[in-house]
Amino acid sequence: MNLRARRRLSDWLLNTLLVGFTVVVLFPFYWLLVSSLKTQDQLFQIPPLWIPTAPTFDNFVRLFQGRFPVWFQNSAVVASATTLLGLTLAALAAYSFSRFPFPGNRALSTIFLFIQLFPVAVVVIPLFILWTNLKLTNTYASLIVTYLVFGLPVSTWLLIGFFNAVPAELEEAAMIDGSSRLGALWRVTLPLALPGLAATAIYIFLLSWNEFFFALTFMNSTDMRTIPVGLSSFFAEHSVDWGLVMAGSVVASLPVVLLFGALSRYFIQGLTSGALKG
Amino acid sequence: MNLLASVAPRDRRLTYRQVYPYLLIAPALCVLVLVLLYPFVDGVRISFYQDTLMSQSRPFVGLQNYRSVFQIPQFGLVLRISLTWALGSVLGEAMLGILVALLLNRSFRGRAFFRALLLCPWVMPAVVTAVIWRWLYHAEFGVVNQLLGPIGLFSAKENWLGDPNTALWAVIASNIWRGFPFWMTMILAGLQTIEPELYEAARVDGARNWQLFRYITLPNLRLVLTITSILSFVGNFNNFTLVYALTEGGPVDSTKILPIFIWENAFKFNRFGEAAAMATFFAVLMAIAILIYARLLRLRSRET
Repeated sequence: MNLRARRRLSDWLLNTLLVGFTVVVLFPFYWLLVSSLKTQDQLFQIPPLWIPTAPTFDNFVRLFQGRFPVWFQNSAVVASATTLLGLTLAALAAYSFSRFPFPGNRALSTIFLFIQLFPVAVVVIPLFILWTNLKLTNTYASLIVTYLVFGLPVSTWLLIGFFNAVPAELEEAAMIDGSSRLGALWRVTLPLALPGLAATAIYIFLLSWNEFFFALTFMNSTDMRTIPVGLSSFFAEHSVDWGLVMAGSVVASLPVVLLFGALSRYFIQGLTSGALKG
Repeated sequence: MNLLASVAPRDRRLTYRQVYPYLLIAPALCVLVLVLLYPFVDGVRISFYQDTLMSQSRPFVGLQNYRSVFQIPQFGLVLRISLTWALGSVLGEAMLGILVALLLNRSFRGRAFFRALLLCPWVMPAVVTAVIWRWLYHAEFGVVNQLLGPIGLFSAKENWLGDPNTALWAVIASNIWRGFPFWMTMILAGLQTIEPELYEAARVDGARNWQLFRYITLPNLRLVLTITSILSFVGNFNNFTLVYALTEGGPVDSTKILPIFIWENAFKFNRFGEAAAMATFFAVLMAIAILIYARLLRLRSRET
């Protein structure tokens, strides 16, 4: 066998391996989706019904007849507010880190990087006491403010990268034309860094949409639960309604799939830059 | 007086200019202090007091909480389970992640597509991961038993998450599925920074495939590997959600990792002081890991 044929064979083998592995990795998602479309009888069928015959949306209808819409709304409000506020905070900080060589720049930006290593179990008790004293448990505010911090490191570093890529001369030109610094940031830099802003927004949104630990701790009342806490509460019931949990999980995953699908490239960039830039 | 007045305005403008960058960071910094720094300090303080949420008086008890934490017979077990959980997860995720990164680090059409597909387990809510795996592991109707049953190595009705002998490993396995994409992404990013010329030059010199890996890929990945392992270890050691949503730390404490133990003591058993002592001890463990991380980062900035 000549070298080229051998190379082609090994490429073919490796590609097959990759495709096979991807199928295995994605199977649990397929199984989630399929299970959510099954009737109670089909769910408990042996051997399992690998490809659903007569899929039904019955589970989803039942889901939205219960408390789920309230949880959905809670998650949506918290995640959207965190995204807006977090983006603003991160953009201001990143702009400062990117443009001004002030004393302490490097130290402070490195501290931002270390937040992602902070053990959440350490702050949860004092934070809970703080929110209790401020009468803020069972409020959106307690979650939003908490999530802001944990989105900061990656979003700040992601934006520093994007701001660095916009030439400072463009802003200076705008400022000579009479614009203030923040005006120049708003009119010149932000539009040019739009993909970065979008990626950062998605990152913060997913982070707060997926979060469970603080939501479980701060939201005790049933009507203030976010989707993840609501989903886990299905398992506290005496017998688990699998169809309902599956449908709820599909709905919880939908925004993630849509947002991630739209901007996965920038998301991946943010993931690696937050950790590797230092 | 006169002199001061003439100097002051200029001085103030200068100061404003110097303060400006800090003003931009101030909002982020405020939240940081409120949600991380203050609670952290307060947590250490609480660990020296006898504290329950409802109690009216909170007497100072010194190291009493720490002493009683180390006297809890479970505590050593919890530490061992935490370590098994974190190390097992990191090792599994690393092996799988590196292999897939090497598979992806070739030029072929659809590479970005595969990378995005394989990242899916990592971006999904952890609670959804738990739901999926609870169903896959189901003793009677789970796919895992349907597939493994015919092999005959395990009982066809094995209750993976309900059996204290298997629960920890079952939880680790689902965590590896969830966490390997992080390794894959980081390693792939590292691999792509290696100049292709290096490989070509070595190949001209007659290096074989495994030699290329040993003498070019590995040394160039060293830093990415160390940073990723620390991030991955800290992330797994900190994990609460996946384990809690899968088993709540059970059955019979077989998956009770430290964050769950701390959380239970505080919010189920209302032992805030002891929980805070555990959390402080936990923070010290983390700080050691973080110090290593900081040293590596400094090392890196000196290299580049």
